[in-house]
Amino acid sequence: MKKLAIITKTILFLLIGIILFFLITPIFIPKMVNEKLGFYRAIIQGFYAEPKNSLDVVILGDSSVYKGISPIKMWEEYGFTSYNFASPSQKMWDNYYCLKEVIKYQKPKVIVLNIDQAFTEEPMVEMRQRFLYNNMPDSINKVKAIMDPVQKNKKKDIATLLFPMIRFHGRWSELKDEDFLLAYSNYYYAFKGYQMTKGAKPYDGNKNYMQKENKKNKIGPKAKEYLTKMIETCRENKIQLLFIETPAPKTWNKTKHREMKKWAIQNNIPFFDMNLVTKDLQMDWNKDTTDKGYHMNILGAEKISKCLGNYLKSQYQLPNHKEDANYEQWEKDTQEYEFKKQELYQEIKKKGKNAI
Amino acid sequence: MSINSLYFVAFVAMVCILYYIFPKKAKWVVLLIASYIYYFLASNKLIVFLLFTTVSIYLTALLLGKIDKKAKDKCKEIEEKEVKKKIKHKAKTKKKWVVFLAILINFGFLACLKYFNFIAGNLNSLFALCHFQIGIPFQKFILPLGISYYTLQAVSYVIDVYRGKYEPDKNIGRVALFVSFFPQIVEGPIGRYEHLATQLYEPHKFQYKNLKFGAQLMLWGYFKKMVIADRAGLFVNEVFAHYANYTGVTIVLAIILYTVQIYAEFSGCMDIVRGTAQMMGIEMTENFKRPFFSTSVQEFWRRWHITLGAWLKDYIFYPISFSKFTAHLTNIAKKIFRNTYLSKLIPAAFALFFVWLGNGIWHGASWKYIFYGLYYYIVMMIGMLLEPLSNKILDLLKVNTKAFSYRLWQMFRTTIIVFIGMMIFRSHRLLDAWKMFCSIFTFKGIGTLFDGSLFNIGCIPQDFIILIIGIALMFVVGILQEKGYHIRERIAKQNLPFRWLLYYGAIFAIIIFGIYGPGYVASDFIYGQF
Repeated sequence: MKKLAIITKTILFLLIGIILFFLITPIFIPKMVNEKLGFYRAIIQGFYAEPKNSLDVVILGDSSVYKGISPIKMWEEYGFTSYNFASPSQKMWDNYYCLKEVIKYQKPKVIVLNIDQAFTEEPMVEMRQRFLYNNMPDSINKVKAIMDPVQKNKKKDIATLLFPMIRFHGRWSELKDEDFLLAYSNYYYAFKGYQMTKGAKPYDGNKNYMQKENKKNKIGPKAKEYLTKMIETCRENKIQLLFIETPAPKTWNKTKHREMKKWAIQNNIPFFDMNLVTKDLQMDWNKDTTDKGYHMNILGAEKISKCLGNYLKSQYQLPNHKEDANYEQWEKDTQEYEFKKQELYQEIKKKGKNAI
Repeated sequence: MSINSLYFVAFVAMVCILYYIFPKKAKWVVLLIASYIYYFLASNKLIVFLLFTTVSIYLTALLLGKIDKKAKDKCKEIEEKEVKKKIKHKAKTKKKWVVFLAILINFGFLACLKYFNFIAGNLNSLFALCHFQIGIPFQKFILPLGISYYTLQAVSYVIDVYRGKYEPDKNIGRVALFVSFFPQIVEGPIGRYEHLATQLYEPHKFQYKNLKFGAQLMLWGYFKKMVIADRAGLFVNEVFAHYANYTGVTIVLAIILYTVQIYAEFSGCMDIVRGTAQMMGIEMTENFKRPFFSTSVQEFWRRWHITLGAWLKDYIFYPISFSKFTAHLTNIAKKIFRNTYLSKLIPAAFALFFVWLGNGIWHGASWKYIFYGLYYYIVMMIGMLLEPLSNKILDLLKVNTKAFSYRLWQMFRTTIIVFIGMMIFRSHRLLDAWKMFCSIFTFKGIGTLFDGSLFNIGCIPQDFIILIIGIALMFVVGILQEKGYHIRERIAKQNLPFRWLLYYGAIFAIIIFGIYGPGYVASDFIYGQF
């Protein structure tokens, strides 16, 4: 009897300790929901804050997605719902695990995958993995993603990614109200995974970048493996998969387009390369990019979103929820989006055209 | 597998479970295997040094026993006293040579690995001074983990067998466990065979109290190491590395914090070690007994690193004190100074010199460590020399030496002496220690205490708050222990919600305020280097 009491007490003590540990951990994770720290937490957690099965389209990818595609703009123009589930340098294997998370919470008709990172085989560095996985709720998918050998994570990286307290406990001295307020609820992100970006640094490189060849650009075996897994997962869940590439004069070229197209055709996946339609998009490389051609600012993002929205609307039978009362929140979010956009435009007017 | 890692905690938990699961006879084997796994994981190939030491002392002890037995058997057969005496004398000489050889080999390894470059460097300087064209090349030796500790422990076993304190152990496995017991191998305490070995071999029944008290002691140790010592280290490392950039006040603070750091770290490590052993029912010797409550330097060293002091006393002080040479010296002293205080002091001073020289050398291969040992020797000698005079003055002034205020003064005086010692110990070189010492008296930059510049040296204001709370906590615990309170017993008497609140408080204080993880470079245990 005494032994049983000891065992029960020990187990209970450990259990309470573990629960307390996991309860305090979210307080210490940096709340990346502002311009200073970036919007990484807002983007990832915002996905989980969306009502279940409310999204028609989910867009996966890297910074080209969260800086280049505005789901609110597509809503404004075409009335379907979408969300950017993206983080910096998100690789194909990360996209695969994100897809697994997407189908747990949503039943999208289309998964859009920006395939820029298909040409790299190197995983995200530990710090960047943090932007995605530290903001993702704990799940088997998350554990599998962190422990997947493709990530090349060392033991200590795995430990710190799974137990972020190891890395962030030192924040005790800088905790603010928001660390407690945003610790236990998923941050609702009205811009649906889009990070509104200002500032214009013109792209002054070759305007005919789609004529450029680089024979080194190949889709590697790891990327192919996870792309195939994504195709299978989408098929199993009856979701249509679309590959896209947003305009990226600095990083995209003819070889990449050809390689991707070839692989997409082989696997019977549509591929929409927006780099081929930059003229139709009326991209202005003096104004539309925020960092000399790597990423879009609000002007470039709106053009891309309009084009992508049009493509999605025309190719897939996406509903228009504009009249649906269940989607009232989207209208409110649109107002917030427009307000913020106007603020940015005011800033442009004040500081001149280069301020945007 | 650092002692302040989660791996170590998991390892201890596993060993504990296996220890209590296995049958009585195999319990010590579990400890032996665990100790060797631990050592192998930490040192890999260097385990051969540990093996060599173990085998050498095991065989030496057996040989000593054999010589003794042979002599005794021979003596039984013989009746004449003179022949008996001769046989005994011969055996003793033989034993002396055997034990001398064993000590030479084991200390030889230690000396070669730890002190080769120091000796070579000094010899090279000497050769250069004498214009000799000789240069001893430096070697890159890797020091096996805990060699300074286990060598002393192993040698003590051989000497004790030689002295006839106990019979040699015929089981090599048991000797191996005594030398390698995993919690203590890195930083001690330096155990003695008669105290530790029996406890290691005896099977201990599972007792919840042992497990609980052991875990509590470990927790307290981790708190001291990770929350206090490593935090103080952030400030200390910066100031000692660039002492020329800082003014007197900052340097004084760095010296005080280093003393806090080394105490919290070393005593914290000992708490972890003792706690680990206690979980399996093994009581290890205390290595620290509130040293900062000492009223003299002698007392400080009876409370600080107790097992090293005891080792030096038993194996250096006594043999030298009772040597023929010291006896001769005593006679000369008596002749010169008659039966005065000084005549008694001289032989003690002679023996103590080697104790403190040994203390300094043991701490490291550098002149600063030798000076560190001799610094305490000089302080003690001055104290002993002036003792009659100071007693007279105290009598004359009618000072109540039993008053608390006088004890407080003595503690303060001792602490200041210890601070200076710690400054020598932590400095990169002796010259740096001297420069730092001089800069204290510049009295420059008192303003640094108030203008906030203190908070740009590795620690932010919140760190200082944690340090103050941590030091205050250590102080309160120290006072309670001095008063004879058994804190863990007292806690055990409290109601469960209070106890658990206390445990969770301690655990989460370590998790939140501890210095660990990639955010910080947790410094290794300072005493692990020795």
